[in-house]
Amino acid sequence: MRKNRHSQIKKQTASFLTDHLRIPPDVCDGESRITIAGDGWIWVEHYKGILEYTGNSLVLQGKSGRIYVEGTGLSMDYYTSEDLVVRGKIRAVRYDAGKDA
Amino acid sequence: MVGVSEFLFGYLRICIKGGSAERFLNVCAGRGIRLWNLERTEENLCFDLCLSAFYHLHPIIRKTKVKVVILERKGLPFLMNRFRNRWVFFLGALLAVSAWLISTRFLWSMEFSGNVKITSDQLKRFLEERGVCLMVPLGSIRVTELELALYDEFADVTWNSIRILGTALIVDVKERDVPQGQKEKQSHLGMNLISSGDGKITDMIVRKGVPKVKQGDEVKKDQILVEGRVPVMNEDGTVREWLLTEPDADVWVERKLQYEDCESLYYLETVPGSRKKTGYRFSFLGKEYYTVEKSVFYRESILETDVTPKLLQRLGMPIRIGKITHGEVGVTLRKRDEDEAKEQSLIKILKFLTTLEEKGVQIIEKDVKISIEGDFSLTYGEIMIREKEDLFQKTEDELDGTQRGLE
Repeated sequence: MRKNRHSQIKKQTASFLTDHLRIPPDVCDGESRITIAGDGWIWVEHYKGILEYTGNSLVLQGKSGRIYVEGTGLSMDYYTSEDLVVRGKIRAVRYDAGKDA
Repeated sequence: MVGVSEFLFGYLRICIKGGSAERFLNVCAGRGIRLWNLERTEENLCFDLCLSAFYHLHPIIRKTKVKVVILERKGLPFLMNRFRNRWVFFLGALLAVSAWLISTRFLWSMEFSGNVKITSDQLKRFLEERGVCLMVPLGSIRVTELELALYDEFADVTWNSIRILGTALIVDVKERDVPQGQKEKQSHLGMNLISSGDGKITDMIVRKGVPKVKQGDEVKKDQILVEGRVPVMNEDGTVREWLLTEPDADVWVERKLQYEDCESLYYLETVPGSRKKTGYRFSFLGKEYYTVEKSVFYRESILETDVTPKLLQRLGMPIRIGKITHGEVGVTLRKRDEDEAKEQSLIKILKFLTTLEEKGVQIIEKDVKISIEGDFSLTYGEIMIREKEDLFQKTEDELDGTQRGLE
């Protein structure tokens, strides 16, 4: 009960900062940030982990939902706990907040 | 994505099968193990990781129940292991690089430019006296001190620049155009301007001193033209004192110059012989080695060409290679015909006249004849010249009364 309350206050504070001080949500709330260059390069920061990785799809767990990267011949340039870079022919990047939120 | 540190410490290409590959990746990320070049095939996940990180994989492998296959070993540790039987090659390469690095800390050549009167050998000796010679550490050369010392050592140097370029010492020098001796006018206080020979005064302008002759006068050798002491008279006509001054006058004298020359029609002519010998001269750190004797033939001409490879010159290495050709020379006694002899004498006269003109002497008239008598070519005649007198002589007369300098 106390944990939920604490979590709620934290969310409200983050929401306040984002709305009123114009601070980006990835800075104050640790939301995932995705940078895409063309259709062959994606840089994902602030993710929690990899849920699924095949040559055609990559599913990442973000803070407030799952991130789906779909394409063909997907490979990762590098992979650390902070960020990863995906290369390949990217067809779609999808965001699904329902499953984890 | 392979960095220098990964190459130096070694890295592996690994393939994992079965189990949970995604879990394996998450655990690796959680433990700070960096993976790169990840590629997923149907069953396998291949990636690169550091050799040091590989030793920490065992608990993760057990936990995630994956099977690990090492595909490739890359980097310097594996490369060295592969070439362990060729350790001498690596040692040689290491020694070569070390020798090269050490050699860049020393002076290997000196270059001098802009010096005309001061020879390169003089500059080299100057540097050697101050401890700057080949093979000294570059750090021990004090360039500013050397530049200042160069001004003190050579009075004719008006500007110099000493700098270290790579392993070479570059010395740029600018010398004064007029020699210092000429610039510093000698004092002729109390001396007389005298005639250097017999002649007739054509022009005379006296700015200082007492003129003793006038325009149009015939003068003899050593005759006083302008006196360097001015008498101050008493009322009774006697000299009270002498004021010494420096005669300053332009006195132009016209005089005849006798020219005589006698030259034999026979002369020695050198003829190149058929025999030649080629050798090399190796110069290393001031020492010279020859592949042939310094003198090969009794009479010879020696031609040396610098054939040092450009690479050695660019690197500033103190090695110079010279190709020396000794050619035999024969000598024959020849006799000039009349025309040749006259031409030779004419060249000599013209050379003599040019030398006079360079000294500021004007040539008004020349009457010189060339004749061939027996085995000799005789040149004789008179040259009328006009020159400015600049010969000074101390007065030897007894001075009555006191003397002092004229301000």
